[in-house]
Amino acid sequence: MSIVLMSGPAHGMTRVLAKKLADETGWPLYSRDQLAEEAHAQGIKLGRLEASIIKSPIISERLAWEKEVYLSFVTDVLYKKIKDNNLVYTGRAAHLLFPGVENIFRVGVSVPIETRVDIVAQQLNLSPEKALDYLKSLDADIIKWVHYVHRADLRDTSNYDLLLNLEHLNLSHATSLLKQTALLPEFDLTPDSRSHLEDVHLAARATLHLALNKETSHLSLGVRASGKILTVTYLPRQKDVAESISKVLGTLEECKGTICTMAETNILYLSEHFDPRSEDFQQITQLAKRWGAAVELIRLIPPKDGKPFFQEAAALEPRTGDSTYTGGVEDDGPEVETDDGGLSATIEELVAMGRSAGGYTIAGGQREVINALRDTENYSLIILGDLFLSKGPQASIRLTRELGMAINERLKTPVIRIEELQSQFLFGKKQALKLLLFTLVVVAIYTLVFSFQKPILDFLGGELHEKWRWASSIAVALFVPLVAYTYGTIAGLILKLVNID
Amino acid sequence: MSLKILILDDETIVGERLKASLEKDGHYLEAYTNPHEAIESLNQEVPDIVVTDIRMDDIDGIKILELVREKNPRTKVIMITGYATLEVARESLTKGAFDFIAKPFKIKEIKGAIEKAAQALATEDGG
Repeated sequence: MSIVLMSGPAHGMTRVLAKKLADETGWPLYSRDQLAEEAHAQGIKLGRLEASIIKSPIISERLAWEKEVYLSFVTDVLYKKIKDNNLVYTGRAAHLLFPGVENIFRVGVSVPIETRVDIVAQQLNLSPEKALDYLKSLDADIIKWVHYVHRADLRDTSNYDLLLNLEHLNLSHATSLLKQTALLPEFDLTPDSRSHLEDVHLAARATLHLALNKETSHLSLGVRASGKILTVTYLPRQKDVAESISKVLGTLEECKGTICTMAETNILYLSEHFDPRSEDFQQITQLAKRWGAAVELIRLIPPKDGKPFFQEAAALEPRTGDSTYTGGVEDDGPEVETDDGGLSATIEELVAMGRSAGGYTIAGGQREVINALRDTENYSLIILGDLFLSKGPQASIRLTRELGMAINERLKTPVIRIEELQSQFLFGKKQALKLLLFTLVVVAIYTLVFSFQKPILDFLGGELHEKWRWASSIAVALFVPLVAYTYGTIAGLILKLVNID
Repeated sequence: MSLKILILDDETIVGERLKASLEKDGHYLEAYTNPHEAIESLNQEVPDIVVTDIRMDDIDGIKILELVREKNPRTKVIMITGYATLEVARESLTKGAFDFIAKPFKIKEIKGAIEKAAQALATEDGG
């Protein structure tokens, strides 16, 4: 059985090539356009997802959720088509579907820009200059889309089995080449790859079931399947709905069992503002990946009009029911904070990385934070970012320190400032320099010790020792901790380097 | 600023809902479900803003956009669609659409787009 997933630039003849391959092999052809129509019919907000690439989504939208649902929907629809059949599927980033499943033929098509400009100018009735502008903007949008939806770089050639450049290759020869390659044993599904495919499909169906069920649609869950057994990971604050998860998934056919597990390790990051592109955020996610931890965000802001409040982040707000038909013109609903200090965008990024433990805003101070954390015991590390900024630099430092001490006392969990993260847990340029310096110190100590063994031994137990007995005792008392500290530092840095804490 | 806005969507409810909320802001609205009738109106009177659906049976929104841009480049065209794709959005913007909104959308989103269009019109008119 052959599955051919073909990607290519927009207006770049990939569809024509896919059709020729389908005609020549007799395999069914399916395109992203057909899939988009089905998604629309099923009520999946694909249009909102697409438009979000060009325009920033409004803050109250849960696009991370929509993205998961869309990908699960795509997997479900395509799986039904390939279950007992060959398939040629063509679409944007088609080669990235069914990630990790082997023996699927993943094809990329490249077409010269001049050819595409001609096609677009004719199809859309544009001047060549406008057609070129259109294609440049569209190509940039599609790169963003692939990064957002698939967390991959469209230009990464390692994701393709075959890249066809149609600049000098005619369509008939390209089709024969594709057909011959698609029929190679490497692209025939094996029992192992089929089993993997079934697991990917089962996880997708489970995600869809959970996302479309009222009881579980608002949860941020990790779903994976292995050997037809589903493992659903939920956050500690969602422990009350664990039963609902099992109930919702209980109706899934072909599922041998469901294991619901609570995420064990969390990193909590408190700050007044967040930026998913910042170096601080990169460091936190690096640590989270290393520990297999999820990251929870708390945005701590001054009380509004003197009143403290607590607000869930928009990215995790429950989905509203769509009971009345509105023609797509929806009421505004309750006002939400339009500036959330980057909280929703950062949660979206964490969701995409599979590292989100949710987030919320607290308007208040130390007491409100402690109250919010009262029943939580599973943090491995608490990181304090920029806090109490409105109080001025000195007061901000003092209040942050006091908050750290209060949290540490309450939860008995290590609390550090964001500036300390790199030096305490990660290996960067500074740590590399430190490792080099301390290694040089050790080498220097060894060189000196072995070069001057005789006087040293004399100083420790010979004639010199007799004369300066007290001095040798002081020297040993100083030297031993110095060596121990140097060794300890080097060992610590090497462990950080190899990602062992 | 009171604006003359033409709405074209083959679903009656869209025009009704937009009319109900935008007229509260003091704008004058005409809603059409038939593109031919909308074109006839466009030939007689020039609106400040046209809000048009893209996918319609007879004539699509892109054609309406081209027509409006040809007849009166001052008029701002806001495209709305339930079948938004990057390709359609880029095509609309390349052909001179002022904004592109995917359905389902919140009323405040279209109000925001209209406000921006009004500002652009005021700037162009030297106000």
